[in-house]
Amino acid sequence: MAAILTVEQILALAPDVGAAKAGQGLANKAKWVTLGCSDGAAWGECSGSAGTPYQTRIDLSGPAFKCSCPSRKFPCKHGLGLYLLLANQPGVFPQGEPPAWVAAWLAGRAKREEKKVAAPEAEPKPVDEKAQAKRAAKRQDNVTHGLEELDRWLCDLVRQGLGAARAQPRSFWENTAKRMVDAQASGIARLVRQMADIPSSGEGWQERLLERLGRLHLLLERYKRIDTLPEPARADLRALIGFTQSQEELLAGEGIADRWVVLGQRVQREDRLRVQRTWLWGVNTKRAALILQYAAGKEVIQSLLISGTRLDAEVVFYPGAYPLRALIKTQQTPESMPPASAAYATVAEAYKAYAGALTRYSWLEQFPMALEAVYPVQREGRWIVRDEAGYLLPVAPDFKFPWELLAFSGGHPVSLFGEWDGDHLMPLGVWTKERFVPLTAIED
Amino acid sequence: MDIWERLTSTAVLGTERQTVDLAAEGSLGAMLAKLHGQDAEHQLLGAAAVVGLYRRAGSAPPVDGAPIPAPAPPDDRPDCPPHARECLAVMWSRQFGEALPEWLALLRESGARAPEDYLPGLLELGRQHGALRKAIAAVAGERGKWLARQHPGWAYVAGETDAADFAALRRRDPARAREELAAEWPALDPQTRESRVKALAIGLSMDDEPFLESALDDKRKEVRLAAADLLARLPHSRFAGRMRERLEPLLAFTPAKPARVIPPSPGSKARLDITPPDSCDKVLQRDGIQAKMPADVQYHLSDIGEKGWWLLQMLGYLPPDYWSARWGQTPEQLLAIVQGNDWRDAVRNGWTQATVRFRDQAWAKALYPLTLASHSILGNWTDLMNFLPPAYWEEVTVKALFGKQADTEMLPRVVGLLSAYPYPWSAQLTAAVWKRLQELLKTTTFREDMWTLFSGSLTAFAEKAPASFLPEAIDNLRGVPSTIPESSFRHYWVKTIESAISLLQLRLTMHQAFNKDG
Repeated sequence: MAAILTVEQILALAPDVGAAKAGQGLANKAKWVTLGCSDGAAWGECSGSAGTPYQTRIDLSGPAFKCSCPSRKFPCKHGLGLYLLLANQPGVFPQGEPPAWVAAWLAGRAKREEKKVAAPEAEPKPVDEKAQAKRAAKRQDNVTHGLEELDRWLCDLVRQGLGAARAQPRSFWENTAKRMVDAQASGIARLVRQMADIPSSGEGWQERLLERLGRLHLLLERYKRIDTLPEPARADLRALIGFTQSQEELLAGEGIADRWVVLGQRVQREDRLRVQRTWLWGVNTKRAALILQYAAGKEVIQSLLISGTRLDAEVVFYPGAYPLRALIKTQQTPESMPPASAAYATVAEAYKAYAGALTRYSWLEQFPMALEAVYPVQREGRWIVRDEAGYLLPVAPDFKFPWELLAFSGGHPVSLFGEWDGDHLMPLGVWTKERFVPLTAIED
Repeated sequence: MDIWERLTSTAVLGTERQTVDLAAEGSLGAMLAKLHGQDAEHQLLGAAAVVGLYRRAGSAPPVDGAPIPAPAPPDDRPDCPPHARECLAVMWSRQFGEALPEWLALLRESGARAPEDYLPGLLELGRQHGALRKAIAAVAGERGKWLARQHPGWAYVAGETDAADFAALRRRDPARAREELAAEWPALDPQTRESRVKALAIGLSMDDEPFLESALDDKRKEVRLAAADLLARLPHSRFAGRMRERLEPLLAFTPAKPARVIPPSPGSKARLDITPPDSCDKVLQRDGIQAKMPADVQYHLSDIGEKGWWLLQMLGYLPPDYWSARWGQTPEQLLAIVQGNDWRDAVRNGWTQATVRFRDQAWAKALYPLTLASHSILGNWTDLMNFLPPAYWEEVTVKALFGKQADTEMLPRVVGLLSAYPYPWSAQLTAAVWKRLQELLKTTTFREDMWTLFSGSLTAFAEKAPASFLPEAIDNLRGVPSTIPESSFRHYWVKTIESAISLLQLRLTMHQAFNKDG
């Protein structure tokens, strides 16, 4: 059984640089007391500093890792080391039946997988419908009052002017955000927090802030007449305000089966959370899906979707007028090589698609753009990508790999994937002649 | 002012200071008209929402006015083999960077292209580490040169490429290379002048003498030193003549007188009376003598003083066998004679410099054991080793490294010597060190005392052993950790062996990757 992922892809799974380094140290036959593999799995026992060896196993179809070591990193160095060894020297893994400690885990995984598919039959809990309705009404009330308060705050803000708001301390924004949390409208709190940095963000801050304020106002206006709107728009508003959608319920619904290509990944900080966005592209359905994962503090994001791989999966979208956010319902073994697939032939076409999305969902924050033939170019110290006709997208100033992108292009057009936030493009991956290269580094 | 600008201006000042103006053309105007009747604040917020979205969704993308820059010239060399680029990925995650020069050399030999995604990283590495520049420029290819032209920090690539072209021309046609250099000389920057003069070492002859003599008038010290270095190697140059004339009166040799019975006389030992130069004037400085001691020399040789420093440099410009022939003494005898002399360190280091410059084997053999044992000799170990017969330094080094009487103070220096000796080690040295390492593993008690020595030598071995030796070494070392008895120090031994195995394994993978696919 050869490794499904390449060394670079395995290294990209490492939760941090330390684990990547330690994993490489363990990609050494001498470190393992036993080794073995079957069609879908690999395992080994690694001699550690403790007396008994650690039992490490990999389900290659996930990939999924399990190890008996006490590390809280995921995957741990043993898992990474075992996978790296498999990639480097598949010959040292004798093919055979998994031992009991591997077989039991694999069976457990298979069972959970089945259960996930059969989720609708989840045990019907006795529900106190009365209490539930009361809680819902109470929350509704809280939200309504909170939004009324926010409306007054917005009016005060524009009455006194953005110039005055700029002179306010951070607590001006933070207090309002906290009020929104108290009013059980955490989504609104997030939007308010996003505004706090704008007054100090340099040239053009006034326009950026005004645009945000306008969009927030639009949200309040729409919510006032939510009952008159079609269901997808209602779902959007509820999600924006912070009503959560039950994942079990979602997964019980119909999914969209396709061959999905993992096009890019990006981790961003949001308040005290880290959010990882993973973009999938459906080869047949020609639509994007966004998988969100959250982690707090030192917690590790347990994402095993790897840029540059493709997988057959059934994906369920959150409802909305322009559905992007999704959950993976079931998935098959990933493969290493994605086909070249770019959605937009020109920048103008991508722009038009973005405009279309925006008219359906005005609060869109990131729009996935797979561009077919663009040139990365440096202009007066700033980077842009442009098409043959000259239409350009400014590249995000915090994009870390403009020179790598330029090296791939060599002055010729390239296909690339990125997130467009309305102002800047953050490139996340580029197609070369024979492969797809993610343009993101290991999270430090 | 368009509607968006007017809205922004009102928003900045505040609706209490400026009224909201909703006038706009066409469909946008119609949408905004619906806001009339609300209070000013809601009008502004509502208009901001409408116009903000309208701008985003309705406008065309901006246009880049300038033409697309010319693309990089095509490069039809094959891609870097996939396994080789994976080795690079491993090094990039901050491990085994010591194998990078070897990787670069293998890539160059294979004739493949450097992977594009690593080019900027490599170019940047060369910017930070001068020692890697040549190797990186050599693999940059058309794509790398194209990139480097767009980044001010990577200009060295063009410089290295030109230097390689010049060296090639000099190899083909020394006279034409010199003539071309002379023609472009006034326009060259100091660094290029220095590197070009150094390149004249290829095919050096008396034909170059007039040009080099004139280069001694260069404003830049490094250029003068490079010219002096070459002129010294031309025994009939005016420079060499001047150096001899200056030095002869400074060293007065008196041969030994044997003891006699009749008439009785106790005899006397041979002696060397040394008078260092008392000044370093402009003329001497023109001839490549530096008036001030550089910081690294001062660190090693603070005691010799500035006069000693001038003498040292002058001696460095004259072949050492000039003295042995003149006085009929072997290098060993002369080194013994200066042993008790006040100017010993200046003279000995001057002779070492001369030995390296003129690649004198007899002198190197005499000096080599001293360089190992002494603190006061300049760091010329590897320079000496480079031209000594392998069998000779191998014997000396290995003895010093593993001999029973191994001097503990000397060990780190010898280990340093092993690791400083360039890749790849010869088969003899590799075999000798390997044999000694295995003996050490058999006899040691795996405690602290021998660990430093073992760890240093094994690491150097893992870095520098030639490729053909790798499989055997990996196989042998794999079994070792399980044979190390339990102790509080076991951990260190195991760790050293394991990281050596990993490095050897990476290097083996690297060689296989380039051989198999290339």
